[in-house]
Amino acid sequence: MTDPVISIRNLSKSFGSNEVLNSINAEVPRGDVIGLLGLNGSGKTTLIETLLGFSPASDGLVEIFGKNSFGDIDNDTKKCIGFVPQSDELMQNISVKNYLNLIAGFYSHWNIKLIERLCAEWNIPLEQRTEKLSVGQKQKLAILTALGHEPELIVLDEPVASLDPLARRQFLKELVDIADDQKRTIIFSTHIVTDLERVANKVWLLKDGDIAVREDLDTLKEHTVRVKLPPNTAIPESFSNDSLIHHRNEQLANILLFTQWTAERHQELEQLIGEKLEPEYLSLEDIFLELLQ
Amino acid sequence: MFSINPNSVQPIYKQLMEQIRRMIASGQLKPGDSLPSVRDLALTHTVNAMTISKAYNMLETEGLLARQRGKAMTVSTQNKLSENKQDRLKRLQPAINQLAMAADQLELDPDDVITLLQNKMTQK
Repeated sequence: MTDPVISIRNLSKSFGSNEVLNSINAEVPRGDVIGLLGLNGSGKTTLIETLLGFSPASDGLVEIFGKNSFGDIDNDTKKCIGFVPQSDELMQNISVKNYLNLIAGFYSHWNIKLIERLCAEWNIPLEQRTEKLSVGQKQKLAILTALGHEPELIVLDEPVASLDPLARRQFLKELVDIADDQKRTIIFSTHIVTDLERVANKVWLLKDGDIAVREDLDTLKEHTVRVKLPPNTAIPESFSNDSLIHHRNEQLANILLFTQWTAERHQELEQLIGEKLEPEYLSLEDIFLELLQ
Repeated sequence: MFSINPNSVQPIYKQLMEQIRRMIASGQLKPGDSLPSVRDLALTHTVNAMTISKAYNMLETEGLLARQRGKAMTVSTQNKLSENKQDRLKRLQPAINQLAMAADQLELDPDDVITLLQNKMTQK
């Protein structure tokens, strides 16, 4: 088995007394496309920045390609990483073309044909000055600068926030193309859950400082159910385990969210409760919303 | 060629499998017909290639698709499904549950529903 591209061990990060990340453990195998979900303020950007070594961890360790991300990443390793931060201040008073040439100068490998194709397809005028670009064009340019050197690891923090639906679709297509090369790994955070459902093979949901759900996307959808029990029904102790990831009491029902759901679990719960149950399968967005209630 | 709904409760690979099965059952895809390559389908529909591969591989395991060496996936020319009858019946269960629920709500007699079903299945 090949080594993971990223290895996260007991990662914690606090800002003063505010603990944003709480002892996170995770691994990212090569070839994975991980969609990072979480509410605003849940720590997605903090996780990304700490992961990439832009910010030191308060505790724990992150390794990228086997090297400590805060301090041990040499230039050769940096060339294997492409990063698109949430908001990017582009250099001003420079044309797109010259800006791209400048970025290209940092790398020994730069796929000029890829950049030319994407500039044309994504409608980024090469002669235009960067400060005159629209918000969407700026975001597209930021993405391009992370792709030109064809890095093995691409990390994107809300890359489509400013893109119109067409631009978003074009960008996703490019991600699909990149992901087709099984040696390349992608992590992206997004609020647009349907984008994640198209492109990601794994989901990480950040909540309360930890990755509350980390699962293969198909497995998550196929084995996560919402079960409604009569209000104030106690969950049988013998049935309750790690697979119960959320529950809440409403006026008309006690609502439970289970993962690892099977026909056997269904039968077992029905027998314990003594009532017929109709578990409901959910879209990823509904799973996400349920977990956050 | 296919209609993908990422917002559905059904994983995309299952949506694809269902649509391919339907196209084969209806004759839209005939034995020997080639399917688009994994990569082509992935790019056309903006879906991770692993998802497309998964659907193709599972249909190949079921015996509906066949992989020619070095060529694209094709619709199997052998008419034998590799799944046994019990497993195939099990697969029908969700549709049966839905039908039974709808019939219940409409206060219909099982015999009448069975007649409708029989007529539909013998219609070719």
